[in-house]
Order: sequence, then C-alpha cells, then structure tokens
Amino acid sequence: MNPAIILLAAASIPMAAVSLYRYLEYRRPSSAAGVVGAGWSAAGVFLVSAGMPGLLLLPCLLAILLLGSMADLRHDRSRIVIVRTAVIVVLLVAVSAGLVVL
Amino acid sequence: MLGISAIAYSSVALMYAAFFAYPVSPAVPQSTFDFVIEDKEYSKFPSIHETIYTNGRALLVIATVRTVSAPSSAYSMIFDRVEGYAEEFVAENYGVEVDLREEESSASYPFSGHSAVRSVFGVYKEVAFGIEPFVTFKEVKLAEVGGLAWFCDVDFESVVLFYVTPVYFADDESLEALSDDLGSMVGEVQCH
Ligand SMILES: [Zn+2]
Repeated sequence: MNPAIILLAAASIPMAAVSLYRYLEYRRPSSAAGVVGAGWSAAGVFLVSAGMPGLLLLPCLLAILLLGSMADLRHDRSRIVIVRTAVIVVLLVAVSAGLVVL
Repeated sequence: MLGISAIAYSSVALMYAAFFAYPVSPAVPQSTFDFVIEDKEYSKFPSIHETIYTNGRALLVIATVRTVSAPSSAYSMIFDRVEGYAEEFVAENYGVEVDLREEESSASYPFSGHSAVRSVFGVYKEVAFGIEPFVTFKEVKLAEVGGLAWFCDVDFESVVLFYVTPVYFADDESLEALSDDLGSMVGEVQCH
C-alpha cells in the first residue's frame, strides 16, 4: 500500500474524533453523521484505490452530512442549523450537477 | 471545544499537504532503447515528476502528478493545451505549412490497466512531386503526435503522456526502426 494513500485516509481521523466527542457530549444526529461521514471518507480512499470511481466520494459524503443536519432540524430550528442544512443542499446540488455536466 | 476543533482542522490540513507533497512513483516505459533520458522533479507541491525521452526527431514526455482523482474532462482540457504545444513543436520541426489534424480520440481507452483519455493527431504537408513543368502536389503524412492521460487509482497519481513520432516520409529505414521503438515504448508504459 502506497503511504500517500494511507495519509489521505488518515486525514479523516481527526474529524471522526471531534464528531464522536461532540456526539457523546450533546447527542446531536449531525455529530453522528459526522462520524459516519469521516468513516466513509477514509473507507472511500481505499475503495477508490481498489477501483471505485472517485467521483462518488464527495456526493455520498454530502448526502450523509445532509441526513444528519436534517435530523437536527426536527429538534432545533435555530438559524445556524437552517443555514448549515441549506449550505449542504446547495453543495450537493452543485457537485451532482457538476458531475453530470462533466 | 474551539481548541480541539482548531487542532483537528489543522492536522487534517497537514495530512492533505503531506499527501500532495509525497513523491510520486513515476510511470516508466519498460525499455528505453537508445533514447536519451532526462529526469526532472518538476514540482514538489503537488509532487510532479517529468521524464523526457529523446532520440533525434522522436520525443516522449511522461508527467506523473499526485492527484486525488481526475474526471476525463480535466484530461481533455490538458489535451486542448497540448494541441497548442504540439502545433508549435511541429511548426518548428517541419516548417509552418503543415496541417495538424485529430485522427483518433477516445475518452475511455484501455491502457496500462486503467481507462485513459487518448488523442492522436496526424501531421500533414503538401509535397511537390516530379520535375517542372510536370509537378503534382500530394498531401503526405509526415508524423504522428499523440497524447494519453489517466488516473492510476492504485497509487493516486495522474499520468499525462505525450509523444511525437519521427518523420515517416523520409524513406529511411533507421527512422522506421526508431518509429517502431517509440511505438513499443509508448505501448508498454507502466504506472504501478
Ligand atoms: Zn496504475
């Protein structure tokens, strides 16, 4: 295994750790989604090196984060959560549209 | 909490930086015949390695670049630029009155265990035949310019390869042999 690939996968570990810490502290669904998303990113690096199209990585990550953020919205309709959800939707649409155009 | 986040974000940034700086393992042909090899570390960040193989009028350039992934359209954009460079190279070597025409192009050409973007251009020139006043003009193919680009998912590297064959029309056996050598070099480039 190329050390560069291990470095790239390991870059997800700090985010997984922070999300896990937040989840244990506040039990928000978005933090759980952060843990799953970081896991997906790390796994995705190895999946790509095994032949999965790399273009699937980012949209799937955004979809996971969106699910978490939408679950937060059910209990917490504060402006910051609404804005965050909207930003993820915009990013997901932009990335998906970009992939179709490309 | 803010402190922990800051540490997390900066360590992520550091790891991404280390990934892009990690030296590539350059893609290489299996045999190099009598070609002169010039190796260059083109850039450290991102890591880009460039090898130039030359032998008279034959040229092969291979660049290996550290990338996360690359859609075919990015490679097509590289080729649009390569086409401009090729036109210049050809004009310098064969005179300005040559015509460069795209003859083959594929977005999913199986190559070195991957799916590559490929373009091949023919270099054409109007050549005069016969003695005055019985001169006829014929268009002949002088050489071929080709480009290949692909993402090596095994090593997380993109490879961009570009070649120019020697003159075909010279009726010279050594040039034909050189052309064959170049062909087998290009055909056997390995990236992982
Ligand atoms: Zn490869």
